Formats: sequence, structure tokens, C-alpha cells
Amino acid sequence: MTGANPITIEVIGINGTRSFSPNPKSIPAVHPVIWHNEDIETHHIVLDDGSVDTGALRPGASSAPMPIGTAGPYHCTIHPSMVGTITR
Amino acid sequence: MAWVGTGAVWTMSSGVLKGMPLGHAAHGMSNGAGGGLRFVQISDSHIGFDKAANADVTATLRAAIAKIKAEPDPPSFVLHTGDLTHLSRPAEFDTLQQVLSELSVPVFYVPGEHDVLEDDGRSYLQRFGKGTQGAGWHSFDKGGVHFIGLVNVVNLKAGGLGSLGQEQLEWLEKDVKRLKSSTPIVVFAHIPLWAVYPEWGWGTDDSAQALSYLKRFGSISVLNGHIHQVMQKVEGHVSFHTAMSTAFPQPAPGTAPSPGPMKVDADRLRQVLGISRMSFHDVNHPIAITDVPLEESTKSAES
Repeated sequence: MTGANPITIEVIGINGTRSFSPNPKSIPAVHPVIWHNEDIETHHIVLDDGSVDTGALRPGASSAPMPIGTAGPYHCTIHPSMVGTITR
Repeated sequence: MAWVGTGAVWTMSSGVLKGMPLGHAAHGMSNGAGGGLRFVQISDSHIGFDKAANADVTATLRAAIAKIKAEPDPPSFVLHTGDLTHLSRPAEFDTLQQVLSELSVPVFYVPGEHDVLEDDGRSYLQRFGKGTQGAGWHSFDKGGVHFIGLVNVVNLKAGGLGSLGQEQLEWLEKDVKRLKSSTPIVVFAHIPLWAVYPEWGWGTDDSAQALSYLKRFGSISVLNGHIHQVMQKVEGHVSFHTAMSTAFPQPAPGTAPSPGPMKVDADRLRQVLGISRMSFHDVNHPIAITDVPLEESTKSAES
């Protein structure tokens, strides 16, 4: 199951659907996702269905590689106007 | 919506804001010859932040406290409208408390989103939540004015803005039921309770419902932080005001790709940080708000 290279999504800043890059992003189920915080604010990314939770990502920090069971929308719990989507 | 430069005084009269130069207004206020309720709002101290926009936020907070202590007419109390710390770390809360302990008047708090990054805000509540409800909302009466501290930085919904939540809204409705409509109301919360710039999350989803419980009151002042700049707006009997930060400025809405700390020239930093001084001379007169930078500009104000 594991072994496929993780795919990185950059956390850019607080800007609605333009908060993440790339967004939306098609990610095959075999690849885990890393969120890398490029912004100067702390962010905390969760899938809307609650299945993925990065914890607090300080500026410059990256999440652990997160397996994505079910693709779908995600957001920042601290700045909920930051929204993105993972597709298959 | 009106942009407000620092160093100006805004007085609300019959629902209309009137401006005057800071020096003139300060003179007028200090001529109040006793009486009246005075308090100060500080906001967005971000203790722990150490990047280029301000490498020493503790020093600028100390400068704000010194400004308050030097007031010729001392305030009765201070409101802190959140983001006390940058990362909710215990050492940051310790520093904040140590600096604010230099004040000899009570300080009332509401949290910002930076104060609840860890442990669902329990550290904040342990230190600042005594006597509050839920995530830290509370109310109190001073000088004939009813003050309401609201929390709009927890349990936020995907794609949304700040949120008060049903439990807090029900509490608010009950809290004001007992009050006469002539009671002046001051609401303070971290994220603006009006849609300043939703693209950057600068607003609160259910603020309209909260304000609907207050519409029978003749004088409502809403004080917020979060956006690190002064903005004012009046809607009917409601006067909205956001305060400067004591830590760093942020860009005006839409003038940058996203919000965040904005670096300005070192000799200008303390001109864009500051406090807000509030005054009620009696319940039948409007609230007066003076935005006071840590340092005055030596240049004449631009119109």
C-alpha cells in the first residue's frame, strides 16, 4: 500500500480557493499527501469528512505524508475560508 | 465604510461619525472635568512573533502599556480583543501576563484564533476564562454601560468565516433580555462582526443574528481586532470599529495576495501600531473613540 511518492500541496495564504496550490488536485489513492506551509501564518488542515488532520502547521512546516482514503474537500480549521479539493 | 487614519478622533452622534484632529479631541476629552467612563482597547499583541515585520513584539506591547499608564485621565479598565499570543505557547502567555500585570486596572479578554491553536483553547481558558461561559464569552456592567465579550474563533466551519455558534447566540439573547433599551451596549470580539473582506476571512458568519438581538438598543458599539488596522462603519445604531495591533500591521483589504504581517520601514512601525481610547461621558452621550499610535507621525496627516 505504501511506497508511492507523496504529493505535496503548498499552503500559500488566506485567500479562499486560491489558498492552496495546486487546487484542485487529482491524486491517485496510492499516493499520500504532504501539506507544506509556505505562508507566514500557522495553519491546520483537515479533510471536511474528518478523515485527515495535519495538526498545527507552523510557517515552513510540512505535514507527515497523509494517506487519503476518500477524496474530497479540505480546509484550514484556523482560517476556514481557506478551502481546497482533492479529486481522483 | 470609511478608512480612518491614525491620529484622528471619531465621535458617534445620532448614528453619524464625526472626525476631528487628535490633539483637538484629546484636549476636549481631558476637559471633561471628571465623570464619564474611560477605557482602552488593545489588540493583537502576538507575543512570540519574531519575524521581520516586528522582531520585538514584547517591546511594542510594553510601549502600549506605557501609553496607557501615561494617560492624563486613567482608564477604568482595558479590553484585549484577542491574539494575545502568536502560537498559544505557555511561555508566550506568561510574557503577556507579565507585561499586562504592569497595569493597575482590570483587563478583560476575548481570545483570537492564535490563542486557541493548541489544546482546544484550554490554556487560554485556564488563564483568562475565570467567570466566563463556553469558550470564554462573558458580559459585565461598568458605568451604566453593558459590555459583552464574544468568542468567534472556535468551531469554525469549512468555507466559512468567524463563527459565534448557537450556544453562544442563545446565551447572548438571554443576556440582554433584562436590559432597558436605553442601555448603551459595547460588544467586543476578535474577528470583525461585519463583513470587512470575506475573501480573507475578515467577517463572522452569524454576526447578523447576534446583532438582531441588539437592534432595540439605541447605542451599540462593536469593537474588534484581527485585521491590525483601523476601520470604521456605521449601520443604524451600530458603530463598528477595528483597532490597530500592538505587534505588526497588515495590508489593506485586497492590496496583497493574502493577509499577514506587513513590513514597513523601521521608523514608521510605531506609527501604525497603537491603542484605542474610549470615552463615555454619560449614558446619554455617544461613545468617543480615539485611535492613538505608539508614536505620532512627524508629517502632517494625509487626507
